[in-house]
Amino acid sequence: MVVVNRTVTAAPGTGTTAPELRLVVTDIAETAPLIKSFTVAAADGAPLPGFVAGSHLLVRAGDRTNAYSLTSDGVAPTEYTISVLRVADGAGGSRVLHDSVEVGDTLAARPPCSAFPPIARASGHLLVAGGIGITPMVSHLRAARRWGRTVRVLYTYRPGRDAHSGEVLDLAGPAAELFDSGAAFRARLPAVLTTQPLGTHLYICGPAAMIDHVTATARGAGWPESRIHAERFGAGTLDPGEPFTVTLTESDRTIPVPTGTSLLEALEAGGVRVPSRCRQGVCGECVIPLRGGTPIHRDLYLGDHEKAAAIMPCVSRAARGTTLEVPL
Amino acid sequence: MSQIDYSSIPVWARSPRPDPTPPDITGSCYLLVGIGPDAEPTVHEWSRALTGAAEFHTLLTADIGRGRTLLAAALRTARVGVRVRLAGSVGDCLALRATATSAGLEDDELQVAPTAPGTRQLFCAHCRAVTAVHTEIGDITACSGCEQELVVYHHVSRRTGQYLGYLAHGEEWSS
Repeated sequence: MVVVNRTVTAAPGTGTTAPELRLVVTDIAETAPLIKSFTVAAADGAPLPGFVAGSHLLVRAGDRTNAYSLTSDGVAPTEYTISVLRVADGAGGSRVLHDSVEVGDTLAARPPCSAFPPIARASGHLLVAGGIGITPMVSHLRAARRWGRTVRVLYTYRPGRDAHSGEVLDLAGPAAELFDSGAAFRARLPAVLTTQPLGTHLYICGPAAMIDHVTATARGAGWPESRIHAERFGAGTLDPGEPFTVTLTESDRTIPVPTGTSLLEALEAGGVRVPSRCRQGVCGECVIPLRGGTPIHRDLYLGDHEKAAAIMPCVSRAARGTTLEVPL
Repeated sequence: MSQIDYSSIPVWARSPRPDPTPPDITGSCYLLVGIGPDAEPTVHEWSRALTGAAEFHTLLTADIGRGRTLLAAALRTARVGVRVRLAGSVGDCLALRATATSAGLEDDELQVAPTAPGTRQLFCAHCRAVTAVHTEIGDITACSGCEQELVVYHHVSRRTGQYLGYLAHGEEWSS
C-alpha cells in the first residue's frame, strides 16, 4: 500500500528547494460547517504552476506550514482552491486561516506537490473519501472528467458536513454514492470492492480509522497492495522516543539525541545542516544515508528497500542507548 | 554487477528454476494457465492446493496462441481480486504475461513457474519482424524479416513479451 500523510506541519522558513509563491486570497467560501474554501491567485493574475490531480499546497499560516489538497483544476491554472477544516485543538494553522485570513490578504505557499496522483495505467479509479478527505478526490474527479477516465466515488460524512457534495455529484453523476451514515457506508463497501473490473485502482482519503477499515476490507476482497493508495490526514502524534546517540562518521563526532528531541533537531543543534521541509516524515527532503545501527523508521516516505541504507531524521530514531552511524 | 540486473527481463525468465516463494494465497479467484504437457503437473498441483480453499479456473492447452486468447477472455470479465499463475516455457510465459499486463494485471497479481527456456521472440527494431530464436541474450542472430544480424538485447517488452533486437555492429564505421 502506498501511504502519504496530508497534514504536514513544518517550522517556518525551513526548506530551500522550491521558491515560495506569494498568493493573494481572492475568495473565501463556507463549504460546510467548519470547512472554508480559499481561492488564491498571483497578485498580477499570472499563470500558476500546473499540478497533477491529488496534489497539495504547503501553505504558511502563522508559524505553521500545513499541506492542503487542491480542489481546483490543475491544467494551466490561474488560481488555486484549497479547503480547510478548522481543527480547534490542532497546531494552529487551520485556526489562523479560518479566523484571521480575509479576502485580499497574501499567503506564502510552496508550489503544488504531488503525492496522491491517479495511476496512469489504471482502467478505472475507485475513490473512497471520509469527511474532509473528499478534497483530493474533487481534483481527481475534475481530471477524470477532463481526460475521460472511468471513475466511481464513495463519500461518507457526518450529517450536515457534506463538503463539496454538490461538486462531487456534478462531476461524477450516477458514479457517486454519498453516505451520511458510517454504518450505511460500511454495509455498502464490500459489494463495491468485490465487483470492480480488473485494472481498477483504489484511492482512500479520510480519518485513519476509516482508511484502515477500507484497506482491510479491500485486502480481504483480494486487492493487492499495488492497487491500494491511501492519503492520511490528522497525523498520529508520534511518541517522544527513547534517548540514543548518533555517530557522524565523516566528521568523527558523536551527538546525543534526548527523548523528545528529533534526530534532525539534534543534528541542527550540533551545527550540522540537513535540508528539511515538512519535518513530519512525509516529504523526503531530509533523508540522509545510514551506515550503521538499527533504526526505528517512523516515516511514511521511504520504501522498504530504501530503509536499509537511509533514514528520515525528522521522525525516525533508535532504541534506548543504541547508536546510529551516518556519513556526515 | 552485470547489466542484466537492471534489465526489464523478469528474474524467472533469466534462469528458470523453481520459484522459492510460496504461492500467493491472498486472491479471491485464481486463473491457472498451463502451456504444453510439461506444465500440466504444476497446474494440477496448484489445483489440488486451491480445491476447497478458493475459486479457481484452469486453462490448459499446448497452443500458446489459444492460451493467450483464453486468458484474455477470462480477464475481460475478471474482477479485482483475481490472481494469475502461469506455467510453461519462458517464452510462452512472457507472451502470457504480455496478455495479462495488457488486460490490467499488476505484477503482484502474477506468479510464474517456467518449465523450460523455450524459444525467445525477437523483435527487429529495423523491419519490425519477429523471429523465434534459441540463442542467449547478447548473442547475434539473423532476422527472419530483413536478414540483418541482430543482437539479442537484454530488454523484453511487457506489452508484447518480445526481446529487443537491433543491428549488430550498427554503431561501427564501415566504408
